[in-house]
Amino acid sequence: MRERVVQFPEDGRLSGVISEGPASVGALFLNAGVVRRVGVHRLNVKLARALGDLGFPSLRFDLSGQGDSVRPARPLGPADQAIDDLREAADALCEAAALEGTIGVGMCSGADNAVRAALRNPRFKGLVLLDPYAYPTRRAAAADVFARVSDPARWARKSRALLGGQVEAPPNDSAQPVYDQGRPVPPREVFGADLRALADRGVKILIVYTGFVKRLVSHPDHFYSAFKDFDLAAAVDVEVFADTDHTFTQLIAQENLIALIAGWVNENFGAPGERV
Amino acid sequence: MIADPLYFGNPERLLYGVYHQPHCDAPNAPAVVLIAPFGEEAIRAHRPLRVLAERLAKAGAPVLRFDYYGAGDSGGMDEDVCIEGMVADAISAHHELVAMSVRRRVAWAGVGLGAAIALLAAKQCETSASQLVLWDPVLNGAAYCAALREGHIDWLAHALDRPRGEVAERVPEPEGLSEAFGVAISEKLRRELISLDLTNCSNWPSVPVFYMDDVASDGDSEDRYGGAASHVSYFKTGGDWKSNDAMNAHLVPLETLNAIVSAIAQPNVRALA
Repeated sequence: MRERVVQFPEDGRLSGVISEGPASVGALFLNAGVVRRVGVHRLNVKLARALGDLGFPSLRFDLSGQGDSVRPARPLGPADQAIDDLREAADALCEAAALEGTIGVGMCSGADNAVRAALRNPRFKGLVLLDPYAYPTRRAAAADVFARVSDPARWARKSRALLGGQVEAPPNDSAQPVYDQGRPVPPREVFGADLRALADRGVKILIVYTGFVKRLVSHPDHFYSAFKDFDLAAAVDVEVFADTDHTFTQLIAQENLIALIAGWVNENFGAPGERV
Repeated sequence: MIADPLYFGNPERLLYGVYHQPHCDAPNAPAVVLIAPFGEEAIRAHRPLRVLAERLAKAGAPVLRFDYYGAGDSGGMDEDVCIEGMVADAISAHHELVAMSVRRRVAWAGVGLGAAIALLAAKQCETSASQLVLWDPVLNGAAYCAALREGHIDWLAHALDRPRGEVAERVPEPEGLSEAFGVAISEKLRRELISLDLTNCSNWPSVPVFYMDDVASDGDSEDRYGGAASHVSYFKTGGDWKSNDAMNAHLVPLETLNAIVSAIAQPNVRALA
């Protein structure tokens, strides 16, 4: 698979790596936070090449001022600038590979940017969102309580503590606020309406939650329950990697994620050569 | 800023790099190859190295920063990274920079394991580097493997919210470490690391060496390398580039970067005492 550097738009301020392929839809990889475009643990590169092996082109690029991209002469606010950059990137990918559309792939704040950009840009035909916003439900809270009381390691710690032995608690045990997702979270109604609007437009969506939000979502039903008034069950595919950390640090978690996303993209956007 | 991203090197071993053209006419300034650390540290060091490249270019030095094969935007996968290959990549970057910049003097600045790569490459290719900058160098590979393992366990315990002891039980000892911080470690790389020992500076290349390490790191490095040899200068630095907090910040250790710019582009000015 051939990869080449691209700089766009006319002023060349945005920098990326593009790979071409026969499919009619390509993946657009976003920065996760301030991590350069290769992604946490180089996950975007690994994903791009896995999709490339299936014939899907891709572009991984850095937002203005991040990675190898530079800020525009007159930058917009961060959210608007990200939307503008993503519009330029979607244009660059679609024009370079003669594509009909793109699939935004974003983690954490990258997922937030992907949703915002897709709402304003019909080029987005699909979204893969890793740890997007999550919201509390009674079912998830009950599952969280059950998981805690049924954790044998927890009871072993309590027994050792009662017997006066040394106890090593998990670093975040009960200390991490349940709702802290490391970034401002919009009201549930806003995110639900955004997803609904995208689904109504025909955008295919895969959401993957990790153990980072395990107290909010530890089963796909918790997501559907949180958004039952938006009827997302048939519109959004949800997978939960409950034993995986936010950045998929363990290699086995990366392998599982790559297999999931590659399979989902292939299933929803056609095999190589089958221009949709 | 004038920066040109490019792929270079052997078609079977394509490397991604960014060439920073000098912003002013300073023919006495050397060209500079920036040599990144390993694995996740390279991702964390990206922004500091970009800012360093921009500052060196502003001082008149042409600069090339690059990703090793199997890392960053270069070809290859995690398992392709090994010390032998990293040394070859550094030398390849040197030749690319000489061709692009038409400078005869080239300084190499390496960070973390990249500093060890600079030392090894300079020994292998004596006429290449005119000056070395070693920033928080990894000189003892076995100790580095052990530190990678400890950091990996700490990170996973925090990220998975599990007791450290429970996580540690599942992570192999350094001699069998096959992954750290989300990056695979091949058997070849592990063997090379375990046998890596560059602590004796009398075996270093006889070019000017600027040794810089963090105030929080090994306390005796100043005693060991400060004035240990006439061609070695020691600088104590501050600033964080490799912590978990640094990964999520736009801040860079400016004091250290300024010291490197002074050491390379204005060698007659002592940057830090």
